[in-house]
Amino acid sequence: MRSSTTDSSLSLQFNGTGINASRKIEGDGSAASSGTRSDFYLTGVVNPSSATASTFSSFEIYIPNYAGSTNKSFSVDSVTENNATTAYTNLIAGIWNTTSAINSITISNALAQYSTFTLYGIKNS
Amino acid sequence: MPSTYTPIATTTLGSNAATVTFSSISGTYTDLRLVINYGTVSADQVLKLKLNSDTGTNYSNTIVYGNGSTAGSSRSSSVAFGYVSLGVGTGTNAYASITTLDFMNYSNSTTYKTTLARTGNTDTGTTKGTEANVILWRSTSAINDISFSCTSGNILAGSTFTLYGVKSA
Repeated sequence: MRSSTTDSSLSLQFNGTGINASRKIEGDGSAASSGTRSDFYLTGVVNPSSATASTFSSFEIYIPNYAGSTNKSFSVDSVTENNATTAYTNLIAGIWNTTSAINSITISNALAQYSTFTLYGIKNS
Repeated sequence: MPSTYTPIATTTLGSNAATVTFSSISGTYTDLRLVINYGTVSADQVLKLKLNSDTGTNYSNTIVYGNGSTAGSSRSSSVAFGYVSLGVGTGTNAYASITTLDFMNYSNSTTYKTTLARTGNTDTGTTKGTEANVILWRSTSAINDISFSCTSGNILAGSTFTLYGVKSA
């Protein structure tokens, strides 16, 4: 992903409703830090327009048991490497405090052309 | 698109349990992936891993974690189990813990085995958050048995464990 603005965050919604909270550990190449959010934004996961041209962040979200009847936990791994002085790698834990099965995922930002999104389904036995 | 994940077995706990085990795992895949959505009866538990029922001090762990305010790293060597997650347990969201584990080249009989564990937990509690763990098992045996348990107490009823086999092209 890449943003057409300087915004390196994105909002994440399931079934049209924002996630409720997230905790993350972030490394910038020299130090690691941890933070908490109580809203539906994930920060530092998108290459902004100020990043080196033609660089896009890689972002994976994993949602196990997405159709179950408990609140939905998920994890996110992301990197914003762009061959410049500032880049981040993030490991994020998130939760959506809703017991409904997830049937819609919305990722919002001023997303730049050539950003790609692929959804996979994985079945158990 | 060809299927890359082959489901091997799923366990959904019908009642609280001290141990979850996958045994007699076939060696026909390239890698294994295990996906867990779980809680524990007691708060702030370490989820532990044993391979092939090995209770010897043959495991080493290197961990990076963030609990929402502090980032840290820890390491242990020559211990009797792998650390899957440092901080799981029951809170506002009983099943808030999720973990994926990757066992690469698990069936070779030449090298020691390395496992990557990735856990997320946004439940209440200071030890919970996000973490990535590397577990080394100093054995050249093919992995054919994987078991999980907590530091103390049981894994919560309703927790789900799914084992997949992943084949190379």
